[in-house]
Amino acid sequence: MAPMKNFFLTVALVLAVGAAACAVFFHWRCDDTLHTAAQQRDAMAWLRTEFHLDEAQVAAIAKLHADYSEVCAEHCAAIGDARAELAQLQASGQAPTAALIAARTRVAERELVCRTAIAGHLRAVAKLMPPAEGERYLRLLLPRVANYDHHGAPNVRLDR
Amino acid sequence: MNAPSDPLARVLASWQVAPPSDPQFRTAVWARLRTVREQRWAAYLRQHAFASTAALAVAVVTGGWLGQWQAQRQAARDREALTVAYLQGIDARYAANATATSNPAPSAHQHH
Repeated sequence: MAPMKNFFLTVALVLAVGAAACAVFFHWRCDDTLHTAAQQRDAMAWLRTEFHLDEAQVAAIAKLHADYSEVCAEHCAAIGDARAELAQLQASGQAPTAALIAARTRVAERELVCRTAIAGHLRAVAKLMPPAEGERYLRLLLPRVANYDHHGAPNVRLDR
Repeated sequence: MNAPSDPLARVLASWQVAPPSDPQFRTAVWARLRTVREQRWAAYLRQHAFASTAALAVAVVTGGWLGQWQAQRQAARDREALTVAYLQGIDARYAANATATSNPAPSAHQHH
């Protein structure tokens, strides 16, 4: 039985060493700052580390976001109203087609205004970053803004 | 099929083995069996040094690769979640959806 016991002991050693290597590499390669930011859902902390910003740049971007928030609130209200109106018409089931089309057009128009404003805002933020980081920032975010599907749940990935 | 006069057959017929008597033979066999049975693990590893080293090397490489892969996957998940969180903070369409679903999203800034 001893040869089998030794064999199984060796297998256990190999598995333990493999697991230890896995844990060591995971912690070595893990981006703790990014993970903490994700757990706290701290988008500004992510922005700081992801795009290698200094404190002055972070402060300037935060101010830009704060200023833009008023514009964003207006767009949010306008889009919300347009969507509510469209939802009411759809719920009634008897709305004339022309009214539905007009309501849908209104939603689309307001979303276009919003999208254009966001793209402008993102470009303004990118200008505050180092040039290469600003380009990367725009490459990451502009397509998402352009391709946003407003019928989808926006925070589904964060609920995990 | 050999003829009775075949010299090989005659030699074989006359061959007699007379091994020297060894009263310790049985004891020696059991002693060797016990040695194998009671072999220490370190000795076992030394005996299978090449295979053990190879297995450990494979374990380190595979484990390291898996750990790195998991770290990259986690970073991608975190990055995706934060990108969405960031956009929720500045994109009124996300905010309008969140308001409509009574599930307001946290944001880079608060505008409500």
